[in-house]
Amino acid sequence: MKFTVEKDLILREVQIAQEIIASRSNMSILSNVLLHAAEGELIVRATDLKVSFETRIPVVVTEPGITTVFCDKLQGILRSLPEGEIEFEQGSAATGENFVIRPKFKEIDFRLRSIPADKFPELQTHIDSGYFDFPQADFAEMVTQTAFAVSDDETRFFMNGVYLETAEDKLIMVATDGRRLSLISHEIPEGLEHFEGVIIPPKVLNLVRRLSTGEGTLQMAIADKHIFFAFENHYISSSLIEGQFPNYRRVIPETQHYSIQLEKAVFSEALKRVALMVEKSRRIYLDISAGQIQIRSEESEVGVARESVAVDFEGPDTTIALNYMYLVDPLRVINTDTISIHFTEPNKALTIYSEPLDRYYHIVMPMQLQ
Amino acid sequence: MSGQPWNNGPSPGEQPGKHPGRQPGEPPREKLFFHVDMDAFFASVEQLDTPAYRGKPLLVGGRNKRGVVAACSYEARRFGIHSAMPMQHALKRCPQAIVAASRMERYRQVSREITSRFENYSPRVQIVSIDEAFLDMTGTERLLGPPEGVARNLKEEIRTATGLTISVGIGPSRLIAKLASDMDKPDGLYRVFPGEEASFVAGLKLKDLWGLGAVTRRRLEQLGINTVLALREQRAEFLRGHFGASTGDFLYQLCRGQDPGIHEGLHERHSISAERTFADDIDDPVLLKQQILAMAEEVIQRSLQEDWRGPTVQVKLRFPSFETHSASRTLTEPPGGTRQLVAVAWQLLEKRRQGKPLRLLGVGIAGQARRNSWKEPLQQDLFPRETRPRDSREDALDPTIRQLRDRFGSGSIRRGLWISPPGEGTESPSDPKEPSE
Repeated sequence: MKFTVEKDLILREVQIAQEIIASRSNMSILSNVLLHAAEGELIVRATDLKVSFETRIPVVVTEPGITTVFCDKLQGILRSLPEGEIEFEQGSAATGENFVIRPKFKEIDFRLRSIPADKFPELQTHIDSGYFDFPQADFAEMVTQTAFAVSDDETRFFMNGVYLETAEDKLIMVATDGRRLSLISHEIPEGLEHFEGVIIPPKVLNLVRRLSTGEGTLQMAIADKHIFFAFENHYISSSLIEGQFPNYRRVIPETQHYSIQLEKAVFSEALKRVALMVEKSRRIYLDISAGQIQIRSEESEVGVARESVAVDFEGPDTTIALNYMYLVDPLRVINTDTISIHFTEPNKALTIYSEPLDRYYHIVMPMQLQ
Repeated sequence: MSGQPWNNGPSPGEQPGKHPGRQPGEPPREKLFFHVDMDAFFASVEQLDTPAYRGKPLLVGGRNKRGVVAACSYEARRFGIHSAMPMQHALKRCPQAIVAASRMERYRQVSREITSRFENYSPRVQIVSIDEAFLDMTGTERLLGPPEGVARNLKEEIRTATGLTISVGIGPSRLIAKLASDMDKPDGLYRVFPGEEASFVAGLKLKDLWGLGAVTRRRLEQLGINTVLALREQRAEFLRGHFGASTGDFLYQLCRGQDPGIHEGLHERHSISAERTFADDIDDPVLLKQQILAMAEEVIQRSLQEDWRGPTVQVKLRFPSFETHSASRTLTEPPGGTRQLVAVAWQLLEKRRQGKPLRLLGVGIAGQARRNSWKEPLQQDLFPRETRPRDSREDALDPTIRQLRDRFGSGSIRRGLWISPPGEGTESPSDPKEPSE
C-alpha cells in the first residue's frame, strides 16, 4: 500500500478517529485506526465497539492496500510534521513490516508498527436505506439543549443517554439524571415514520454536533438497535442503550402557580459569585419575594454570600433550595437574553424557559430546605 | 490552660495549625505528632462504671472456651496476662480475676467523648481505633505552647471529663509518637525529640517495635537477630532478600527510627465490620443466621452512629481448619438497614460455606458510594418511585433502635433473635416478636 496526501487533510480525520477510540493500549487493535487506500481515496475507520466512524478523503494512490496503525502515535507524528505532502507506505503488515510515514522534500522517516486489517472488527457505519434528512443547525440545537442533562451513574444506565421519540407529530429529545430533565421538540421531518423511542449515548450526539458544519442537512437513520448519521464525507454509527427510559411525561408539571423573569446574564453572574461560597452539597437558596430574588449560599464555616436581583414578582415569599449546577447548566445553553422560572412551592419541580418561549425547557427538582 | 485552648484564640475557620506566623523564608516546621492511647481502655471503663472492680485484676472478654482477653486491668497484667490471650489461659494464671463481658457500645460512647476533645488541640486528628488516635500538632507550638504542656492539659481535660487516664507519646513522626506512648504507661507522657529517633528505637526490644509480627520476629531470631541494634547492622539487600522488598525496607527503616509511613493518609473510614469466633464450631443455619443478624445489627448501629456506610457487603468465614475465606458484593446503594445487610451477607455466606461448620464469622460494609451518609439526600428526585424502591418502614427501624438505646441504654431494645431475613421461612412460632414492629 502506498499513497500520498496533504498533511492537514489526513490529520483532521485521524484526530476524529482518535476521539472515538477509547482504548489507550498500543497492543490493542481497538487503539488502531484502519487506513484503506483504494481508487483515488483513502478510507479511514475507527471504533470503540459502540461508536463507529468512517470517512473518505481524496488521496493519490500508487498502490492500493489496507492496514491499521496505533492512532494516538500516528496523530502525534502528523501533528509534528511540517505542512505539505506526505507519502505513506505499508509493506506486508502480516509479515511484520512497518508503516512508513515520509514527508516529501524532507529527510524524515517514521516507522510505525502495524496490525493486519483482518484483525480489525467489522463495522457497520451506514445502512442502505431508511435515512431521513434533518437540518444540521436544528440537530445541533437539540443536542445542546439536552445532552448535558444525562446521568453519569452507570447503575441507572437507562438514563445514561438522550431519549429520542416521536409523539403527537413532534420529534422529541429528552434527557434526565433523575433530578433534572431537559426537553426539546421539533416538527417531524419529512420521510420519518413513527418509531419506538430510543436511548442514544451522548458520545455520538456530541461528536456529530461538533463535526457537523451547522449548514444544510444531515442524514439520520435508526435501525437494528443502532443510530446512523451521514453528512459530508462522514459516516458515524452508534449502538443504542437498551432499557426502559422513565416515563418522563409524568414529571412535567402541568401547571405552575408563579413565574419570574430574569436577565440571564445578571442571574448567571450572581449565581457564579454566590457559588464561590457554596459547599460540597452545591446547595444554594433562592429567596423570592415581591420585587426581588435573593440568591444565597448556606451559612458555613467559611462564611456566607448573598446577592439580590430586582424582579417583577407578586406572590407569597418563597424560599427554594437548589443544586446551583442545575441552574448553571441550563443557563449556559439557553440562547435568549431573558429567562423565566416557573414554580409552585419549595418542594415541587421548577421549570426554566427561554423568553420568548422556544421549543425547549429545563425542569429542576429542588433540594431539601432542611 | 485547660478546657478548650483554641476557643480562646482565633476562630476555628482560621486553621491555626497551618502556618501560624510563619515568615517567608523561614524553614518548614519540624513535624510534631501526639499519639494518644487510652490506658487499658475497656477494663478502665468497666472499673469506672463498677466501683467494685477497682483495684482488682479484671479481664474483659468472653468466658467460653475460645474467648480471648479483649482487655485487662493493670492489676491483671501483674500476673503476666495481656490482651489477646486466651481467656482460659489467663484464668489459669490468675484464677481470682473478675471476668466482665465486653460492652462495645459503652466503650464507643466513652471513646467518642474522649476523641471529640482532640479537635480542640489539632485540626488534623486521625482516629485509628476505638482507643487510639494521632494528633498532628505540627505548627501549633507558637499558638499552644510547648508540646509537653499541651499534652498535660489534654490529659487533665480527659481525666476531669471522663475519669479515665490516657498516655500521650510525642514525637517527630507518627511511628515515634506511637512507640513513645508505650514508654510511660499508664497515665504516661513521653517525648522523643527530633534527632533522637535512632537512639530511642535502639533502646527498645524487637517485640516492642511497631508492625513486627510474631512470624517476622521468629524469622529474625532464626537469623540470629535478637535486638534492634543487631537488626540495624543488616544491609538493606540482606533484609529484602530474606523478607521480600516491602517488609525488608520496612524493617530497615523501622530499626533506624524512620517512619515508614504508618497511618499516612488514613483520614477516612473505609469499612465497618464485626466478627466473632464461636465457642463451638457452628454449622446449624439457624444459629448462623442469628449470628449474622447480631453482627449486621452491630455494624448498622455503628454505621448510623458514625453516619457512614458503604455499598460493599463483606463476609469473612473461617473453617475449623483455619482456612479463611472472604467474599463481597457491591450493591448499587449501601444497604438500607440491618435486614438488607443480613440478606446479602447470608447469600454470600451460604455460597462459600457449602454446609461446612464455621469457627469464625464476620460481616462488614465498605467502599465509596454516591452517598456514604445516612442523612436524607438533600437533592429530591423527579422520579421518586422508580429510583428509590425502598421500604421506608424498614429504613426507619435501625435509627429508631439507635435512638431508643441512646435514651434508655443499650439493653432497652433488642431484636427477636429468631426473626429470619427476608425470603427465609424459618421463623419459629414460639419466639418473641420483634419489639419495635
